[in-house]
Amino acid sequence: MAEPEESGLELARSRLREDDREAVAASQRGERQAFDVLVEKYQRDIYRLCYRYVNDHQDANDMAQEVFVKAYRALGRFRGDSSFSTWLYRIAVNTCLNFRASRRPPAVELPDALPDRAPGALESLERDERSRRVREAVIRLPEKQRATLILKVYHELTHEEVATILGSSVGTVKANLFHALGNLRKMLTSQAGA
Amino acid sequence: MATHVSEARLLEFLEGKGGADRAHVESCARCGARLAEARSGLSLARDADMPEPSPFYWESLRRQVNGRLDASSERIPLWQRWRLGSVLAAAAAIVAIATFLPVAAPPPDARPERPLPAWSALPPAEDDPGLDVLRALGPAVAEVAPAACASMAECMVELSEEESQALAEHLRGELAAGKDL
Repeated sequence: MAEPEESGLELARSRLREDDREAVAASQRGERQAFDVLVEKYQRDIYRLCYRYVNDHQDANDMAQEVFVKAYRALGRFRGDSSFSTWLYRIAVNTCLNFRASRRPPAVELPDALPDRAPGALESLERDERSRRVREAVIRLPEKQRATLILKVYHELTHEEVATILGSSVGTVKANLFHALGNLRKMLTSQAGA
Repeated sequence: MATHVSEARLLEFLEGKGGADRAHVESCARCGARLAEARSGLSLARDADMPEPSPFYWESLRRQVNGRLDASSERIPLWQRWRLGSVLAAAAAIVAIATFLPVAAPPPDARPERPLPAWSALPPAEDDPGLDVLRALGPAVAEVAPAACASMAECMVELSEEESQALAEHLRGELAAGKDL
């Protein structure tokens, strides 16, 4: 999990920051179309973050909406000390941390059709099953470890960005990630052994 | 005893950055095992896909966000604001009147309260030993004036100021003399 090339990454992020600046300023003046541009740009990242956090489409959908509504209401307080995306991620993580899953009965996943006998179909099913088990293990991690792992592994943020989002030190982020990976491995091994 | 490598340093190792602790990690079974476990966890996490929503979903999410923002930022038309203002002003006036009216003018049907009899100046009931005396007197009072009042309490209320004062003093005297009632 080598950190991406810092200079290239910094350059790309600085361009993104510049791109967002105008839309953010226009949104702060109350231009809804400008905010819509930001929603369009970040909705995939935010939805995926929320989905990884709760492993449920409907809950992730509710949370992603909540994140953008909160962000719009709080835009007046955004001073640009961090990038807009980091600020938005912080709102998203706080929304995830405060979220209580709605009390829906758990969805029963039924196969859409009989298993396909085409070559590779079985491997695909096995891969899906492995992925499902890992996602379920991720949501059982302690909250800070879960957030750290999701932001680092699935959103490829730097340690510094994760530290800013979670309001902790870089050292804590590294330690939390290390614990999260070890715990994930233990959970999946114990499941396999059971 | 060798000091084991911290989690943060082991993570750097996992990211291909840890050079300083290489000798220790390679020779320490415990640190080597922790590193292997984290490496395996990372590999499992990376391979876990998540179901991707339909391409049409994103448009729907945007619409839902916009719908919520529209609902929360809807402005009240001017005429409604004026009407709302009038209603609020009327409500405030009612609250003010209800608050100050009893002080400013008592209700027309309110009658002046009867002056309390002298025994009402006695200490609170739980501290007043005279009350026990009155309870003991109850049957006697009822015998003396059965037609005048239905109960002892009623008889006591009907006493004049001078009568109740005299009774209170008499009873205190009885108590002070230690007379057993």
